[in-house]
Amino acid sequence: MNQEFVDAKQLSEMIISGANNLENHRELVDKLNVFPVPDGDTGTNMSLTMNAAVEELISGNPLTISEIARAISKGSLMGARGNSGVILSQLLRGFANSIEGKDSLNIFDFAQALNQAAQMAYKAVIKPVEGTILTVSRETGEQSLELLKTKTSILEFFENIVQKAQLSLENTPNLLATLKEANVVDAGGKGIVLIFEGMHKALAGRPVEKQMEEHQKVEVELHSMQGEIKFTYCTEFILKTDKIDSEGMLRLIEDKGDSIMSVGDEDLIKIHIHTNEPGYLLQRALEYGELISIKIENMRLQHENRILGEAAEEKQDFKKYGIIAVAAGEGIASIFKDIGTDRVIEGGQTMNPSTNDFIEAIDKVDAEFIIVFPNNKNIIMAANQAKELSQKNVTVIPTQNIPQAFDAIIALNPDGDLQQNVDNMRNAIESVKVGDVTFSVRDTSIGGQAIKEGDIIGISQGELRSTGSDINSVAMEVLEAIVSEDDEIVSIFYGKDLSEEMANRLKQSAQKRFSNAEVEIYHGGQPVYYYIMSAE
Amino acid sequence: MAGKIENKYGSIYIESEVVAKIAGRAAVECYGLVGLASKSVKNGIVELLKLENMSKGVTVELTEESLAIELYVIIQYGTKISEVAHNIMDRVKYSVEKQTGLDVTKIDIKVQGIRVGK
Repeated sequence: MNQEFVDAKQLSEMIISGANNLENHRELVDKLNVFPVPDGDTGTNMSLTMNAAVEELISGNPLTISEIARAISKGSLMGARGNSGVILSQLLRGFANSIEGKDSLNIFDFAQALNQAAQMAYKAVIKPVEGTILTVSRETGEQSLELLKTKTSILEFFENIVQKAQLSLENTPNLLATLKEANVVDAGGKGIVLIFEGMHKALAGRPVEKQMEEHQKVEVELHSMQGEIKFTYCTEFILKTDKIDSEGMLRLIEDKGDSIMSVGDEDLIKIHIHTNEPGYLLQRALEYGELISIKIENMRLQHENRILGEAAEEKQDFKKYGIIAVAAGEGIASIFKDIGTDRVIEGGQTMNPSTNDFIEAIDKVDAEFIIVFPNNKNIIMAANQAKELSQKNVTVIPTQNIPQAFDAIIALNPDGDLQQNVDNMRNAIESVKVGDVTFSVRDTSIGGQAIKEGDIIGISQGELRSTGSDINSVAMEVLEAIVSEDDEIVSIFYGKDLSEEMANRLKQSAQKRFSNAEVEIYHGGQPVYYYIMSAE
Repeated sequence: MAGKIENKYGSIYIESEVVAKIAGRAAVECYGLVGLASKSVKNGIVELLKLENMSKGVTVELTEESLAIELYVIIQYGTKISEVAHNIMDRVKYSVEKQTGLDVTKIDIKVQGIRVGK
């Protein structure tokens, strides 16, 4: 398909897809946020601003490019939030001014619009700081002019735009010292790259949808409330229907409770509500279609249990070492508890705990020395910030995965000297070899290997090792890479998407292959990773 | 009157002019702010300050208990003024506290004008 221009309908889809892609990675962008003020809200602010533009776009049902331009410009201005949001609104305004009055957009129009976006954004600041969202948008604009010389199709042009934006983003730490110190790229710049990425995917016929996962995260927050519970039943169901959309459902139930979410996807609507009348709501939903899954929980019981649980947890004896670890999956959390972890913070690859989560956990642990295990590269920074902010004696051991933390905790001598223990733990981390099996979240290519979204991928020591369609065969290939002759223990933690039976089959194959070592399987219950494996 | 930080060796005094300079510098890096304005607004004409006179657009009230900062600013036309002002507050508070160790108790932003075009 060698498409040469984009019409109003496609442009709309591109913008919505860009906004969704940003929304889906909001937390990642929040985590990168260290400049101008390290308050971890860049992703949220940009996302709210972009969503305000999209809401204005959808509600106006625009038919022409000019109408789209006016909608995104107005929506983002009204909804601008935070520093990055104000900049984004200016970028959109410049972009919109440039495309106004055109019937369709070819690559020249896009290149011009990208440059005008950057110019508009630079106008509103006296001393532009380079190494930020401003730099990424300006350099992408400049590069787009270069691309005009060699590209003709819109799709190819945009594919290159995403690459150029990414390169510019990767260079931001060289321009802004704050980023280099924190070892991150610029958060706002990352946001822009995500928007371009989403736009490109829409062009390629794979528009990005909002992820439902967001929903589960919100739920965690909704349920950890304090005090009075007004609505007792947390009610969730999925309705298969073509008679009503998520908006319509929302209106139908909105006066029946709070914490309401209604998310639609093609012919499915997912509803979440806290209510006192779950039966009535199910009844109403049934008038429009078929209920696929239903979950009703009594939050009053949960709440009381939790308050009791927390009270019990807080009555701990003072001791020399307190341990805090981040883990995803109930199996892994309970192993942590078994080996002496005081508090496990929910989190992992797709849900990073905030600095605040660490501070709360640190406050609750009564010990002379507190040792924190982040267990993920992206979480180390939040843990370090919590250490800085806390009055207590906190040491962060920069573990990048779960097996490292298990080994480090086992190496900790509860009566030993702190420095000695830190050295021992660091040694333990280095001696363990780790591999994972997961699935690819996007089409990509690594080391010349093309990988499709959804492919099973095996990672050993952080490097892509193998790909395939069978989870256990990929796992075996990873084990081949990490297990050596003189290893004694191979541990396999299987995730929430796998059965025990399947994990047992892997254990048998592994035991046969590595007869010198003891192969152990554990129920990890972790999301995203089918297997987390270690050898030592 | 100056901000005072005490430790076991003695006291550190920070003059309000120093706070004003830091606040002015932090403000001009803020997105959406295109100038600081002179605070002696006679006969209604707002004077856009040059970079070296930045601190003239800032008043600092420093007492034993409190540190209040006022900034007289000019904002770019077409940005959301309330949000830009809010961002300036965040940035100034963060920079002053980080560099001086003093707690900022209050920041007021007085929008004196908007600039259209460049």
